[in-house]
Amino acid sequence: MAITRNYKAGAVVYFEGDKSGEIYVLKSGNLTLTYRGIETTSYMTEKLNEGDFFGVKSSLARYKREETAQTASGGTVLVLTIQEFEDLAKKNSKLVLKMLKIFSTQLRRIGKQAASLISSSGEETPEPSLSLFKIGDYYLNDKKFDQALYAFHKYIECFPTAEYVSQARERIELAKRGISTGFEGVGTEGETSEAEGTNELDEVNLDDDSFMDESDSEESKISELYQEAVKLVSESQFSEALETFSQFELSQLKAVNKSFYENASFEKSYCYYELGQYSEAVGAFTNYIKEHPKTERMKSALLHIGKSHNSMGEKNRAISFFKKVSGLPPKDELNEEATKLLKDLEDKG
Amino acid sequence: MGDSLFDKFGKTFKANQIIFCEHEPGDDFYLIQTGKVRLNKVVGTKEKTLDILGEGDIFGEMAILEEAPRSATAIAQEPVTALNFNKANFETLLVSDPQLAIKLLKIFSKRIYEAKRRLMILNFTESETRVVDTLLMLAEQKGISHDETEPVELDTNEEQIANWCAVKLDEARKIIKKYQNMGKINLKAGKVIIKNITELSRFVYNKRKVQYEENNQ
Repeated sequence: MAITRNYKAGAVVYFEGDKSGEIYVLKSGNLTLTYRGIETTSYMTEKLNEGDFFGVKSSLARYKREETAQTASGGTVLVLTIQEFEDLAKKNSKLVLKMLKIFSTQLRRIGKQAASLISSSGEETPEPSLSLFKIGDYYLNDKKFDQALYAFHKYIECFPTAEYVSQARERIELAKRGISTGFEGVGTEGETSEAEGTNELDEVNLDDDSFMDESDSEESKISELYQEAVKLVSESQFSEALETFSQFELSQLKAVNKSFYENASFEKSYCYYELGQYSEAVGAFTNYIKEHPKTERMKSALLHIGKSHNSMGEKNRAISFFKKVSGLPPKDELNEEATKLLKDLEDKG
Repeated sequence: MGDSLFDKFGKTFKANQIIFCEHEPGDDFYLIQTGKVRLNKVVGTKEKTLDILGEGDIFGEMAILEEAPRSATAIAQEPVTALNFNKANFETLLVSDPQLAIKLLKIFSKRIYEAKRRLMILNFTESETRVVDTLLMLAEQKGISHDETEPVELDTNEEQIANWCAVKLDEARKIIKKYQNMGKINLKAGKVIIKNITELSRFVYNKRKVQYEENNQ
């Protein structure tokens, strides 16, 4: 049977750091909870109303009290053991539902705070759709075809307009082929079947358009291709460089290294320009600027767009880009070049 | 639990069937009635088993609150029957099975505590403090006090630690290596051994004090 306790003015029901399995209900009088904020030492207070429960979470989860419960002018408190609380809760589903709602709100709030701290510390939080796709790829590479099939089907079902839907369809076919070659469910029964079927699986060529970067090896492969392409650009072998850049999706580099991605986007655009593929160059540089609006190479990108327009005989467009570049600080040789090109065009016109 | 509840909310899964997949969006959860369910997660380049659940266990319950993608893959280890609940029938469930409702209350209480503790770790800007505080937290979860004078053995690894405190794996490895070199921790297969937890606790305590003072300025 639950007991009732009376507290005199100023009395403490429990202190922060105490450990106990008691759960309380304020029957009458007043009670204040004082707890420490997560980010500061400053304390916050919460005044309870008659009928409010307190000490629930720490008792149920068997943790230390996180707050101090004190009454200013005295109060009467119903004291429940965990068992008594459970008996009460069983008869009162509304009470439990209300508590669950409060708890879930708290959890969500904390979850949001954590997410913002994680993202500000530079950790990647990839698109959920992409993560699901990558899980499918992981299973496919791991020859867990049933699971891959499930993941790609879910991807298409949940994100019908996502970026890699057509690739997901292709992978579903690969997974089906994997299953039909008789290696269904490899790995789902534990580690025993790891060695089986590796030869047969070579038939299911998973690497033919391996543009995802789930595994380290794929990441390092992309990284290598990137390095090679950049080297080719520096050696002015633009068509070879472009060929190398085309062996993977540039966006894959995002997961490897963001500055690789930026650099690759610029260099690939530059290759188009050098190879005289001006309209591709304009498109690629424009995209580059859009995606990297704070880039240090803004001026250079704008200048190349201008020069591409110029080469395509689009004089007015070229002029507007050259003007833009010539006015952008800090003044350097790019400004000079733009000014000179501008002057040439205007002299001609 | 009555059969009528199973008629309404029951689902069956064959052995090896996926119940849901990591990163899949979801807004429902399951209560196992018979059979076993394995929870797997892809960590780095390997798939790891987080837990194997049995009769009376709940899984996927976070989705109903957060509508966040699944954090793990659930696979039927053997034929499984389970009750499937979502936002719409959640209340019906709670009313018809108060014991389950209480179980959820307990799970949430624990989750809130753990989430707050993680927030305290994430509030540190330095990776080193985050990693060390994560070790302390793992010890706390085992019920080990910071006053413990004996070495403390934790069932964890670098990936888990890095993941928990949102530090890049390479960086976490470097920090753990540094502590290993200083003789403060030891690494064994699947285990991290803290030689002197009080010392690590003092380190974090001081860092937290500095942080509070900065925040209060």
